[in-house]
Amino acid sequence: MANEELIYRITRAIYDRLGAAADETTVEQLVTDIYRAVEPAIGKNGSGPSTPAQARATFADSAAQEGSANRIVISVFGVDHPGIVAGVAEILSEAQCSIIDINQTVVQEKFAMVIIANAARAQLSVADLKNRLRSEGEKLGVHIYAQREDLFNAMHRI
Amino acid sequence: MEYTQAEILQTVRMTEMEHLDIRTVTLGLSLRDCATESIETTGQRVREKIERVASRLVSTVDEIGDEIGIRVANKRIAVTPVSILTEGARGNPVDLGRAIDEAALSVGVDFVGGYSALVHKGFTRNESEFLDSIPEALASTETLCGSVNAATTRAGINMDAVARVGRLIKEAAERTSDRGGLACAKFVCFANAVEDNPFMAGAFHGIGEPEAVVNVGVSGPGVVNHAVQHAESDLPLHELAELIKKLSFKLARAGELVGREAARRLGIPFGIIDLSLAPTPVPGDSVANILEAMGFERAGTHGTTAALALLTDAVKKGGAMASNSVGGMSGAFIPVSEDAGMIEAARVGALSLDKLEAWTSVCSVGIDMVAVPGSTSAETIAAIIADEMAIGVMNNKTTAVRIIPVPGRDVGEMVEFGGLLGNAPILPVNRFSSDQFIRRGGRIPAPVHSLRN
Repeated sequence: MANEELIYRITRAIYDRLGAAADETTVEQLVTDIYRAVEPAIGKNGSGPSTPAQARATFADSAAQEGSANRIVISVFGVDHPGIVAGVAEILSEAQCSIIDINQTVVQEKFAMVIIANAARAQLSVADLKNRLRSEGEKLGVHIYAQREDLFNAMHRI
Repeated sequence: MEYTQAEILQTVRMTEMEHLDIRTVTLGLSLRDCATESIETTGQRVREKIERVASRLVSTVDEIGDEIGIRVANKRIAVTPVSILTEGARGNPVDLGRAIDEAALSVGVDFVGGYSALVHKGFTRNESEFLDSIPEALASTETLCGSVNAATTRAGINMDAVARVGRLIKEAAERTSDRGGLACAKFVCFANAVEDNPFMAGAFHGIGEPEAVVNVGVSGPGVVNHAVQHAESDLPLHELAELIKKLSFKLARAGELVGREAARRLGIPFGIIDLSLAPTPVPGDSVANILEAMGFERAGTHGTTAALALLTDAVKKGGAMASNSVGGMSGAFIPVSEDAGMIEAARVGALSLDKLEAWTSVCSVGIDMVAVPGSTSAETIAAIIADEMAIGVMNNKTTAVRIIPVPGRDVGEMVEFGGLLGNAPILPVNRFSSDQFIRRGGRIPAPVHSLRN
């Protein structure tokens, strides 16, 4: 798919300029913005720019082909208060894990978030990352679980 | 998102709240190349081989469990039936049992199975001596488990072996009377023993198996229990079966993922996944509770054999859909002492030994972890085993007996084994004698349906 290749090239270019230490979230945002800007020009879907969600989905699809053993599903549950997303995102950023997908809701003050992160370039072992997340969870007063994505794939996809 | 929030929640709930775990990753290991003319030398070679092949087993499996987010409760080893290794060798087979136990302790596994003999049609001279060594071997080791296969559908029932097993169970209990007869919890008598069973106490590495193999036993009664409890109370049974089947599919897929990953990292072929629902003493992680959630006041009452049949079959079907490597027992285990619901049902008098025997015609194994009074005779124990062997032989299925005549204890008292083995109320046995039948010895011929060629 041409669009995947384009996204890959944009990502590559940003990393080349900013270096490997670049903030993952910023990079991802930049990729999405640039992709949206150039997309009408390459005539994707025929009419108008796609939504960021569509762009992100394509991004996720391309990552999926890298093999899911490198991807981690992080689920966070607890009572809502400011700083939960930031706390988890900071740990992932420090560990050089990029966020592939994120879904967060608050229902009746109950906070629920699921993050799919790519740990292919992670600086920490999965065990260390889990420990960091666990202690952060205790600090934030929420439950944080981290599991390899292929478990979800095995259980819910044929 | 690639997975719905409901799917992610379901998996997290299963692993974190409903005790979904992999009961065991069992390394099957052939020791046939270790046999020599001296048991002492064989012992050295066995120790060296186990320590070499299984050195990374525990750390690798724990690492995978941590990454995937599913606890692997036990790491185990199953070896070639030891009676085969002692054939024609000088020395005491118990020494070989100790060497295997030491190796198991040194690599850090929870149990090692295979102090076993396959004598369903008769004994060799060596096997006859080997059987006598079982009580001492189990009483003087920590992790070693043993088994005897006393019957098959093709060969019938070796009633001489059954009678001897009755006596050896009594001896094993006496030798560990200070621990409630614990040695008996590490011994099982089979009909139609399975060669790739990863579960203890009956695991051994069958003679048709390859050099080494990784087998996985999945657990998960807590998951099924939760689903059945939350199902509508008027849900028809075929729909309940469908619900269990779907869950069992997911459990099997999770188990296979862990097993294949372990096999890959250890560089050993993947064998089978055994789908048995294996309970633990943790509240809710109970096969008895699943039966009760289907609509019974207590497990063990009338109708629970039918319910268990539905459960076992649904588990098998879900698993068979999920993996083409299903083997072992695959069904539901009903160990009394390891299942909080069973313990309670037995304590209040809902569950009897007779009902347990009836259940074994439809579940995956048999009378398991049942404590009976210490005064129970060897003949009565042999007769309980004979009944169980008959159910297995006639129905072409694996059945087994793991029974503990607890020295010095009587009906109504409890016995504590600790850990996964749990605790059990002592159940009454029939007070009428079976002695003369057992003393006849000989063989019960194979049934007519063994003539299938």
